[in-house]
Amino acid sequence: MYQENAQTNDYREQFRIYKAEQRKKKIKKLFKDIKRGKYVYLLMIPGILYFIIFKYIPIYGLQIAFKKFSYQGSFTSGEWIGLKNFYDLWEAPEFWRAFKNTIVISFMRIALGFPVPIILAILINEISLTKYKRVIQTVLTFPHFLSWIVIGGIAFNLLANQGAVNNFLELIGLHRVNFLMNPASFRYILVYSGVWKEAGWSSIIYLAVITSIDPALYEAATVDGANRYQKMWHITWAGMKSMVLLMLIMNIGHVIEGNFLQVYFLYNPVVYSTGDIIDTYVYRLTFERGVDFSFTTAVGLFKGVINLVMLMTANTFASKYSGQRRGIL
Amino acid sequence: MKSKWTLIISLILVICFMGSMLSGCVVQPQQTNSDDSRGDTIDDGTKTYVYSVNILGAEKEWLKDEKLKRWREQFKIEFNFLPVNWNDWGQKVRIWMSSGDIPDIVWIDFGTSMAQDYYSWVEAGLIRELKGTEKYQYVHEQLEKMKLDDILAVDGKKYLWPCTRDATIVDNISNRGFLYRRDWAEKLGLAKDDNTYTWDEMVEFARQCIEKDPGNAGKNKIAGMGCQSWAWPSSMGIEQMTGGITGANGYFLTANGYEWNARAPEYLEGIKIVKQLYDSGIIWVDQPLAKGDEAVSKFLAGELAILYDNVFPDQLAWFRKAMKENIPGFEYDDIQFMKVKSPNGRFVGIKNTEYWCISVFSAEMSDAKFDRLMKAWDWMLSPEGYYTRQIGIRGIDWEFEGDGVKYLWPYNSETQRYERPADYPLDLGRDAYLSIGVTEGFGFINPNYEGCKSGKDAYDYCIFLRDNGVLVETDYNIALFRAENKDKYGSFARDISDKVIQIIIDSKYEDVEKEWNAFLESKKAQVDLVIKELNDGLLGK
Repeated sequence: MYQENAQTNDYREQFRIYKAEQRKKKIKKLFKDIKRGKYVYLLMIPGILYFIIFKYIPIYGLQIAFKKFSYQGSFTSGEWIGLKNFYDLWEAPEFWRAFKNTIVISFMRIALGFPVPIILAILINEISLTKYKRVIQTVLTFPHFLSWIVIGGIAFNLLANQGAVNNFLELIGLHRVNFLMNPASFRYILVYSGVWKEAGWSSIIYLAVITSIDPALYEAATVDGANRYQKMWHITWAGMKSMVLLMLIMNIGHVIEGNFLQVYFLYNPVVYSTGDIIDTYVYRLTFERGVDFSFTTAVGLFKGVINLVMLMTANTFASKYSGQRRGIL
Repeated sequence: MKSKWTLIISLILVICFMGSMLSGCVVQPQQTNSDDSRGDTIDDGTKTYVYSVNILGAEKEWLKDEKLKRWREQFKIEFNFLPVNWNDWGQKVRIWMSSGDIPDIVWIDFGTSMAQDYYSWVEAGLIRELKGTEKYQYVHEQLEKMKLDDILAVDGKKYLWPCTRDATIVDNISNRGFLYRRDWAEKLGLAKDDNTYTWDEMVEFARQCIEKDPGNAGKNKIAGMGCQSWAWPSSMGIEQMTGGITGANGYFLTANGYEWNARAPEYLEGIKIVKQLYDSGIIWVDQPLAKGDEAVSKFLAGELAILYDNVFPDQLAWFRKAMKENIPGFEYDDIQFMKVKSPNGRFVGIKNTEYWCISVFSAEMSDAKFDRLMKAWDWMLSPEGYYTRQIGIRGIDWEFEGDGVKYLWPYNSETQRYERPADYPLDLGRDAYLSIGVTEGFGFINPNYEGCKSGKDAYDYCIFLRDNGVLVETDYNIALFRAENKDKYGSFARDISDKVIQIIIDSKYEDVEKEWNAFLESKKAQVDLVIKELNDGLLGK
């Protein structure tokens, strides 16, 4: 019995030494990596600091979601009120409307908007005239650099009752349509104005993937007699598929992000039923009604938790798809 | 060699990134004088103090104003401007206060609904007590004249400076109202000499403008009625119906205690009127989409017959000038205030609070700095300061003579006026006076002030409302009443406005009453809590 115990202890000791050696090796390897990529690590410092200052330190302030907000002193000075803000949130019908709209609009963006930059990238890739290709890319990318305030103005001038689109409809004998004040059409306006603004920009990543596909594959396919569409399907699409899936999963992970600026500059009370998202709801509560930073922080925290769950779920899918132990996180 | 350059470039990039990022985290300096550490030393008259003050727009033109330049030099003060606009003003003030990054002088568009914030700032020690103001004669007189600082005193201490309204407004009666194209009315044969119209006459005028296009703007371009986005939809019939009945505080007193404005029968009638006007195309069809002054632009472009706005004298002068420059044949008198009887037969005016804004001062401001600011303000409020801001520089533009002043400008026997030289710098400095609240009398004693004629029109409009109208007044007791639910819900103004807009655009006329009642029912529990607090607190019920 004693001998068995001694043997077990001996194994344990050997295992401990082995683990310690492994740890040492890992640390050594880490330092070696850092030394080798020292400039890359140097350039990472601002990024890490950014996350610490603007993302992690503010987490400390989340405690006001459980307190009665006071302008006095720091976040710690308010009176603790437990989960009261969350109960209020639970009972606020406006919040649930905003929650539903956020989810629906995000999924509509994915369903109707996500394929557009992929198609664009494939089509741009098929253009053989380099100059024309560059012009097209520039034109398509340009709207990305416009702010939503500008696009809000453009939308007003185009889609308002006395806007260009309605003037054209009337010119060809059709009735004017109240686009921006129609709850049924408002979500589509959000989706397609977003597509117009971002599709060109988003296609860049897919173009980069397409560019990395070995040209020999296309040459071999040509020799084998493949036509243009077959090459697009079997080579281009096959080459970018994994990136598409990755982007899709990441988009699903951000489904609770509603794009505040876009909605804020396009919506009005008539379309709250379909267009009011969590961010605009929080904005109205914070700055257009009585100020209650605690309640709005509670809404933000709730949104953050949902986001985290979505992101973890997306990560699980990513890991399953890639067959690796870890996903995209 | 390559490695060395990589290191240098990496370091430069890192420093740039970190520098730009960290500079965003730095607390804004309250002053930029290198020789002055927050002005804590005794004022020796030699140092220049820099004050951060928020101001509408990023206006800096007034720094070029010669009168103000002399004023700044005399008191050794400079200003850093922190721009705000109408849309983000309240938001910025609240962010400054909650972050502790407070300008020296915070100029606030103070609605009574902000009283709760104000008390919180006082309790948190963020704003400076206005103590020792007795030693500045004119500052003291000004504060004595105002009521708001007394009403909002905390434990007998004052913390705010109310900015008076322009005295061209009679008895604080607002210039809010309808402006209309009188030239179009004349063309259509609908003009009235005294500019008074019944509601139906106004609607008929708008209708004929849409149908007959008297301004030749083009097919489908003319709209009947429009308003600033802040006035939508209440100014298009609701305000006129409820005026003098429900008050301006969201709640009003009845024989049975306090009641919510939205529950008054006149409120529902008002909604129906707006709905009818919108459905029949009288109200500009894109009015609900406007987020600012789009209706004003439409009016200035000659595409709107009637505009509802807060048309203070300067603004009226500016409208007329802009339209004269842009619309062929337009004359100064072609836009006028339309005095409109409400659908229930009354002229309704809004009686403003005595102030239109307040200024508060950072608690971080030292005594010496505050003292210098008060001395500068005191001079600005003195007779010399008054004539300086109204006319110009003493000794160049005017001089004291007996109890009044004499102009030093050349006399024009044709116009029988002392006329300011044509190359005289413009009055750029008005905004500078706003945070002090000394715009009093603007435009009346200066014969060359371009707002004179419009000032007179605005003045006459207010006189008319004073003599003929019912005036909607702010009840400070209700507005500043503090209780848990009142603080939390206020008057539900935003909810009401959103619902009314939704009903106007999205409902059938026959469903208006049903939908409105359903809304009132949905808010009943919360509203009743506030009403109980008002009854308990103000009536002792």
